[in-house]
Amino acid sequence: MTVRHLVIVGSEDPSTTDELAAVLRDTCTVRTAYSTPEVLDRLEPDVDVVLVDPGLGEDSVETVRDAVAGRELDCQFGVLSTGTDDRTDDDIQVSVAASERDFRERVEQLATRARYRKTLEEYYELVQASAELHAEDLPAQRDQVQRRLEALGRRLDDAAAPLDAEALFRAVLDDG
Amino acid sequence: MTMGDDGHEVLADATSVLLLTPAVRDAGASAAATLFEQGSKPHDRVVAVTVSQSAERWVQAWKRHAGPLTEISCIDVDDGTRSARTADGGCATMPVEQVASPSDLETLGRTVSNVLERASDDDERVGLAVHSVTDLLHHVDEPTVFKFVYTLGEVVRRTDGTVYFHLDAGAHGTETVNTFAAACDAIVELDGDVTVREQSNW
Repeated sequence: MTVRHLVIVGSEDPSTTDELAAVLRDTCTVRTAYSTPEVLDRLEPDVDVVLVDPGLGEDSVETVRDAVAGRELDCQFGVLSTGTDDRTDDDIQVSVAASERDFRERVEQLATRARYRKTLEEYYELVQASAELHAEDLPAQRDQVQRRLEALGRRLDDAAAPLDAEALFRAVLDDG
Repeated sequence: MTMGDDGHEVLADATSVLLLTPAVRDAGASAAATLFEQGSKPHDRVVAVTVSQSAERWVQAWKRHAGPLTEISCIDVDDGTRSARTADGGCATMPVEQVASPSDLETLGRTVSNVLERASDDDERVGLAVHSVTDLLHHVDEPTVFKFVYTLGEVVRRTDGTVYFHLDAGAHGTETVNTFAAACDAIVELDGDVTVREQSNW
């Protein structure tokens, strides 16, 4: 089953924003935003990737990054850049000067990290429920949860497969 | 410390193992050494991740139980408070990588990955011993440590290695023990006897 990722593209220039959104729409569902408050409005738990243009305004990158951390969202964060020579951390830099294919692949990479992070969070919550049932000695309910855990474990394997070790740790442990 | 054939079979199939030991000094290192020695899967190198205990002390405990043939490396996680708190040794005479903060699990994860990658390039199969999850839980919240443990197990699986996560069972409630059991393939419990169980039978 192909999963359509949900991406926010936030940039002050509507034509640039819409062009980037058009590149992504074959594989992703895209929400566009033309200001920092609009980006914040669109930030919801089902978002996988939020891309922010520093040109949105002073502190736009920090404001959105803080909102992602403050709301405990599991999406991945990217900074739109015009090249690879600026001082932005390479890991969150998303070059708009790249080819359409490279741009799509970069966003896909961030979305895949978000998918692993979200699935592991879901797995942890279910593990906690199972641990409580174990402690309360409720075997029938625990068996039910165990089956759901096994199914979720398979989804987690699929989510982890495309990511290398560094990306896996970054996905789950980097809180901006 | 001995275990039955069933235990050997379970451990032969397991990548990530939760090692539950009582709070006896050096129990984790001793148990890991014995399990790696007795295991049916040979390891060319053992890498210890040490947090509250120094790398040197861990290796001393290891050498009392393991043969001399296995190569040893350490990743020592020390925020600088250990030497003021305990006097259990300084730098060890084996390769030691340093990680400055036990709170920075992303850096620890990447450091372990780099060590595993280098070993893999040298065709070495690695046995990893994390000593300990209990120590990490003194610095980082449980959900984050769980995700670190699960993800490290996934990374080790890709190298065909084995990782033992040591947890001092007496220091935690039943729910925490059960939670970390769910992050691993198998659980070894040392409490006088040795009990080995698959995660699904925990």
